[in-house]
Amino acid sequence: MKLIQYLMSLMLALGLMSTAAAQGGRLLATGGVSQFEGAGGGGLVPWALIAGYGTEDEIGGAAHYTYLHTDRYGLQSGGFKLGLFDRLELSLTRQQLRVDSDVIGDTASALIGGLEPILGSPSPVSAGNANITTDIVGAKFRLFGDAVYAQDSWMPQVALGVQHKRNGDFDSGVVVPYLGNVGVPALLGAADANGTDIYLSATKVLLGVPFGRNLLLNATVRATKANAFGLLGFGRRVINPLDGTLLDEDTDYELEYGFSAAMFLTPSLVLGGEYRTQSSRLENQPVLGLLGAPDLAEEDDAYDVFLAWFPNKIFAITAAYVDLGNLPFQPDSEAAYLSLQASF
Amino acid sequence: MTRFLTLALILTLTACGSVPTTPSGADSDLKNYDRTIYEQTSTADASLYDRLGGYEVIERFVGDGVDNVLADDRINDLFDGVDAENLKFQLSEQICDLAGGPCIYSGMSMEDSHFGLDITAAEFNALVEDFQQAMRDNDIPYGLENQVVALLAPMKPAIINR
Repeated sequence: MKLIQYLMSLMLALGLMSTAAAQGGRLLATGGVSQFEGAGGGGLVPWALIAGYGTEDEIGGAAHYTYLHTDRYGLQSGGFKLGLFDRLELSLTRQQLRVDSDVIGDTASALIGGLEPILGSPSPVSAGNANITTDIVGAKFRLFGDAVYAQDSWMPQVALGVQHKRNGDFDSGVVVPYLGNVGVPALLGAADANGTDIYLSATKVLLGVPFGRNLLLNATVRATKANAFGLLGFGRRVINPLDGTLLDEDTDYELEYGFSAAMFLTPSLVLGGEYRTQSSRLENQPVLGLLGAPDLAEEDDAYDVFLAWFPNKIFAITAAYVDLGNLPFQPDSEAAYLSLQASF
Repeated sequence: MTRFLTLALILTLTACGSVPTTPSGADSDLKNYDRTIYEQTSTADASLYDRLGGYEVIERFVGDGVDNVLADDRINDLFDGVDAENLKFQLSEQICDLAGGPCIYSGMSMEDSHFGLDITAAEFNALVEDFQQAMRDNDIPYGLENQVVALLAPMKPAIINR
């Protein structure tokens, strides 16, 4: 909750600053909103637009706080970013995934059920909520193109981005029978706490198309090792818990895709949808298979439908329905999403 | 600022109040870019000019747009000494021409008319906002507003940083 208070005051400060100082000179909504990893974009997918309202002669920026809620998980994302001369975007973001005590309890029960015959009675465990914190440093460089103004060309605006993620609760934070203090990502078979995604985004706004509305189209291709966006670490490494031998490993980059479409219903109201594929490297995990749940951490493609409101250039509010598919102990994760952004 | 005054003197003031038409087949210096995505994909039977409601409607919102610009502290110093009525005429003729109306723009090319002004992207956008507001004040449907903006947007490289 400290994160919320900190970000709320940061956003308020930014809001006040931008009313006092000159507003950036770009048109309303052309910086997008903040995707949950901190880049300017939609909710799930980064766009090639540079965040904030700074033109090629100005520095813009934005701060965001996002909360995504689904039954047994809650994801907070907060951060800020600068848009330098409509060319370079630099972002710092912290994500905190709250894993409900039920999930920890279910994992513990599964372990007890699977291992008790082998290892004897476990020491007593009290399951609490677990938090997985991930810090993300992002940069996005606009390579070429003008998404909004170059209406005489289908050439999109194209940007190259990078997101370096550090998972702070990779191998500790949860007490589980037999194994002691473990981290959820490592327990589920992830290989690394840290990873770097590289992505290429192409974005085009079609002014006056269709039905006279402005339509934004975006495609993003991402090279990644992430499991569940990095919340469950990076890569796959399965180790036999009894003798420590390496059963299998996969730490290569894979290409994943994201697509967005967003239409301006009015000058300040944008309706959109997004789709993002995931690698699902943690599925068919033999150790979890011993417990009867080999696909506990299987990942599905994620999608969302969002409505973003830009009452002015200072604030934006995004509400979304997000479907994350399978999460551990929650096969159909439908989530409510609310995001606030302050920009200049 | 005398730079715009010079521009205003160069521009020839022709008859106001009626649709300025030029013999068909003549070509203006105005459109220095390819057909917009909106034009390429449009299935509308009537021209944007007709759907807007003709020259009178364009003249009305352009007039309000110029008034907004002259009242806009972000950019109005760029228009010091400019003949507002002539500017309104030139812009109305320009939009009439671009939107498929019977006008042929008689003014200078965008590159020439903004030469030496060093207009920034932010100033260009401020003008766009002032004209969007004028279209909303004149009850131009949002869809048509976007199509007018789509026709003007590709001119940005010809106008800024000159």
